[in-house]
Amino acid sequence: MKVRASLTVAGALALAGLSSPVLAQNKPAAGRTMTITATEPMTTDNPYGESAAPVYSLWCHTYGCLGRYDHVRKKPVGILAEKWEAIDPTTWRFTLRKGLKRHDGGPGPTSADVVHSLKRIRTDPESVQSSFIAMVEKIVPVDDHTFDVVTKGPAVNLVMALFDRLIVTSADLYEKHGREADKKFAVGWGPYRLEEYLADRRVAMRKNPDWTEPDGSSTAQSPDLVILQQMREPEQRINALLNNEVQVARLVPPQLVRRLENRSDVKIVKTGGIEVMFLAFNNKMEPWTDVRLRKAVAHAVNRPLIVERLLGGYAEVQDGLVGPNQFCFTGPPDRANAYDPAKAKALLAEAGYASGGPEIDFYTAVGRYVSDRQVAEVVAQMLRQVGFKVKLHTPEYANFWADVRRGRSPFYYMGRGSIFDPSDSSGQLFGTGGSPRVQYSNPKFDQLLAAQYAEQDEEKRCQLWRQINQVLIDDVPSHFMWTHSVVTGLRANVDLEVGSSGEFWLPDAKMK
Amino acid sequence: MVRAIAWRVAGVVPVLFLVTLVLFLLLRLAPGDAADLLVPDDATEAEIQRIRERWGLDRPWIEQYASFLLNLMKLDLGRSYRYGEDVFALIASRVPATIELASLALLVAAVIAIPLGILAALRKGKALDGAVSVFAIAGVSTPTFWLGILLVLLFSAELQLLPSGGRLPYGVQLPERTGLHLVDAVLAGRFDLIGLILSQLVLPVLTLAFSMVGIISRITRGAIIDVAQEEFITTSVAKGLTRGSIIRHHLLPNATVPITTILGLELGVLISGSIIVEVVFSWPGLGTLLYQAISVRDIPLVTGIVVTYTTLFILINVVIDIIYFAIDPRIRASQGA
Amino acid sequence: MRKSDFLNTKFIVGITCLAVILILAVFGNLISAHDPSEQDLMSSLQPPGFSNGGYYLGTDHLGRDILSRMASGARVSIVIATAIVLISGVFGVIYGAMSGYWGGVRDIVLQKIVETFWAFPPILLALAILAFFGQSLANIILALAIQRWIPYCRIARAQALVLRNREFVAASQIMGASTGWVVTRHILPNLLSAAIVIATFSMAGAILAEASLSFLGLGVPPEIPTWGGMLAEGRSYVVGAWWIAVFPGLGIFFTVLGLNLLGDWLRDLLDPRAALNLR
Repeated sequence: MKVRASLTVAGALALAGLSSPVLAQNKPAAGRTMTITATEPMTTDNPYGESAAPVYSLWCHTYGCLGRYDHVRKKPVGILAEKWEAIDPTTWRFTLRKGLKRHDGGPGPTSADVVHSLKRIRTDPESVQSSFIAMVEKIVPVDDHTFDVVTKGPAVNLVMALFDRLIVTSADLYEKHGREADKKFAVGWGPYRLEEYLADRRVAMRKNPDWTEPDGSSTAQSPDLVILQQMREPEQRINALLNNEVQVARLVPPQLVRRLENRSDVKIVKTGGIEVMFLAFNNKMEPWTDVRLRKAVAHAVNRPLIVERLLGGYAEVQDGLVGPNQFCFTGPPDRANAYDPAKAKALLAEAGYASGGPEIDFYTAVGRYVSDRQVAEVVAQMLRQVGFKVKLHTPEYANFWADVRRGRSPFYYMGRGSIFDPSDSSGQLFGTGGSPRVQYSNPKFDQLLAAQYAEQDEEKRCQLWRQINQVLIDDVPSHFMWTHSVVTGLRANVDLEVGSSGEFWLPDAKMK
Repeated sequence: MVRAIAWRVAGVVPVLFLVTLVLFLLLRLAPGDAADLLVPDDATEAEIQRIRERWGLDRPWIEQYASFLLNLMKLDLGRSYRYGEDVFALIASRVPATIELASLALLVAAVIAIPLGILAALRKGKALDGAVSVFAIAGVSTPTFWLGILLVLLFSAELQLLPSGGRLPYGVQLPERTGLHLVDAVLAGRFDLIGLILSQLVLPVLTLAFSMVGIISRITRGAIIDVAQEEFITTSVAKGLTRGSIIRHHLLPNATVPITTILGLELGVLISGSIIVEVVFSWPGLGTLLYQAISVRDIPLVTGIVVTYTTLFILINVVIDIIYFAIDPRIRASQGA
Repeated sequence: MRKSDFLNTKFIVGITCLAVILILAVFGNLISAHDPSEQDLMSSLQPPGFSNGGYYLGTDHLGRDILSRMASGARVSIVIATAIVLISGVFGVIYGAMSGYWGGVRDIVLQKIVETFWAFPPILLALAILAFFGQSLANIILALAIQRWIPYCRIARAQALVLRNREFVAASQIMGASTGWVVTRHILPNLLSAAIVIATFSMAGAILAEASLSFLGLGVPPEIPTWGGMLAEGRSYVVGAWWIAVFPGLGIFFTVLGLNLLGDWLRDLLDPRAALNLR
């Protein structure tokens, strides 16, 4: 009897579940609600506990940061800062905006808050952001709204390094509440106020009614409620966009773009990217000490074909570290390593491998970059066609990265995210003693790189970068492939301009 | 019976010890280092070293394991490297989602499979029996993720009837007492939310249930057939009892033990095996948490989750034992002896 | 005997499924002129047909021939499934039989180890193995076999527990037979039917599990075509180039279906009660 009774109850429940009318999932909440997919990890509500472009962008919107690079207008613009200038080669002076109010009604940002923020980045045990302020010696308040940033050496790229990254939080609240301030008093001065932070699930923020754009542009049409919903599977992002569960689907991979084409309810925004993809050699490991072999690899890979046929045209072939969407791009380099299999074979023969070889191990990140594994499969075949004996490895990312970071990976495909101003990243990748990843050392490169740090004149600095780029192309410590286009799917009623970094400024977004 | 259960629970200790030891060894031997994965790409060596010291990754593994065991006795699972939060709290925030999904999937599977199994047994060898077999086997033969992807494609992207994944959307106020949203909605008297909650459960539950229907209906069929061959049934038939009465009073009660066993086992499988479905539907459960924890070698979190799984398994088994005891007089007699 | 007609239907359908797969595995590469790993980006995403350069089942995103990859995938699936069944079956039966035959403290210790393995969430052990030893065919087999020996072990132990008290076993012991001899002579033969039933189901499960690992990005290396890998990669192309994922999906489905039907048929044939002890 008991069994039967429970079966009946279960049956009724299941029926109710299966036949109940589904509530209107697509019903918009009050006001303009914009749900955006998030793919990066969101692990901590500590604004200094993570270091990834989307996370910096989140905190710039809520707490606020000094400024941001406007990729559309191609210039830095202020957020909490309104003015910045170099007063000598190692000192930059910043002026904060006045008349800003904290979300809880507290006072506006002061120099003391900036000093506190720098200190927290350096001393908070959870902080992982100390790299981008490595060049900063100290911050000296001049008055409540003016402060000087003193650098250890000439740092012409300082503004670009601090903007979009240095999150300014309240010294006062941290003093009172410590780490709890991030949880219970997550208030700042930015255009949005944080309402909810669920690690690796979702973040919600509401428009700050007191916020005005520095240039006075209207924010009337920007979303009132913004929800970042973590969705790591690309298919799911597309499905959710088509179902109007999200209004902005980020990082649409090329093979899924077609699902958004020719539809009236969604549209696609394509932006040139700044994540440079490359084939990296460990220049101290055999056989890559021989520049002829590195060059042979460069000539063996048909980049335009891969971009056209595998990446659906959603990438731009790039020679060297500086491409069209980056700072200091001065047009194509004088010499590039174009696809030329005959030349690749000749180089191999010259290096003593006329009858095939050498045997090489090729590693790739998997699931980290757009179509990474597929690209590596194609590259492996192209290398085989000129005579390399390639073994392709696809380790789990943790292992791949551990090997790369420790300099144990001889030859690998990966990318370097958000290289807008390439100064610091190129030093780390290719500078002598920069890191074990590439193990490259070239005095000429080091010297040019140091020179550009001190060059205040932008035009002259960019000419130095042209030379640096050419050194990297001629010497092939790594072979640069392309930058992936940033493809974003939007509902038809949403208008926003996506920057090369993939980020966008929400007050500029418009929802109908 | 109490003694038997106590013995069972005590038997958990060595298993937990071995499980955590194996885990520690594997995670320490694996080449990926948590410190490498916790810092950004551009981090300096000094920064990595600082993280390593912060989490004690520079200590020998045996020392780390010993302090882990000491803390475990205090029911302290440590702090997650990845989230910096208390592991116990992190797990507690994710467990209800997994349990809700798994138990509902089991319920749906049982509701479909048990009647099918009974029907198949009663029509043994007939066309209906064959049809049930084919349906059941088709369920077992379909890759779960494949079914999930196709369901989302159809019901979310094309028909736009059901959400593609996730749990309650932002802005829905539901006081969480149990974390099981259906139960919470009932407790709070928010019957208006039940439709919404169910709409988010339908696809993942069906995906999980489909693979379970096969095995449960097969077991039910087998159990009924076995019981039907026993003497007392033959006697009942001889006594002239009606068919319905025999099924109700003799067949079902006696087939309950194997059916309960398989349901319990399947619940265990569902709870640990839902990881794929959780990934496909971005269901914020324990499976996705584990998957992410593994990918950054978050040892305290991985260990904590596995300890949770193990404990859940054992709890389920104890509950099954109690159910046996309650429903089967023969087991009661043998335990008493 | 209507019952046996019905059983025969299962048998016929099951065997047909497997025969088709076997034919594909053996002769697939003869039908197609293309090498399974040969890429041709210029003819990527070709739909199936007879007028597209011999790509009868179409090509994938790298311009590889689906038909020849299906054939290679069939072979890999068969190798993986067979190896897993052999390794886990042999190990599990011996382990369980020894454990049950010895009994006492040794049995308790051995069974605690079994419980330990059983307590791990399956995907975690597989991941740990693949992470530590790297992704290769052999490691996939190891990762998938590491929990699949347990059902064999359980059955073997139960059987051994029953048999060790029987007179003929006791008689052999008195006559000085070694443990190994008693186990192979008396216990193993009694396990065979149950083990075969488990094996067919376990094979089916192994093929699905390999597909799931590929879905999570932990499958075999890319140069070895597997159905699971093809299915996982093809899922992005379901709309627009359905053939990339649908053919391997059907391959998996029919192989697993065939194995399950055959297992079911075997179970009915050999011992219906084995059904209850399956897990």
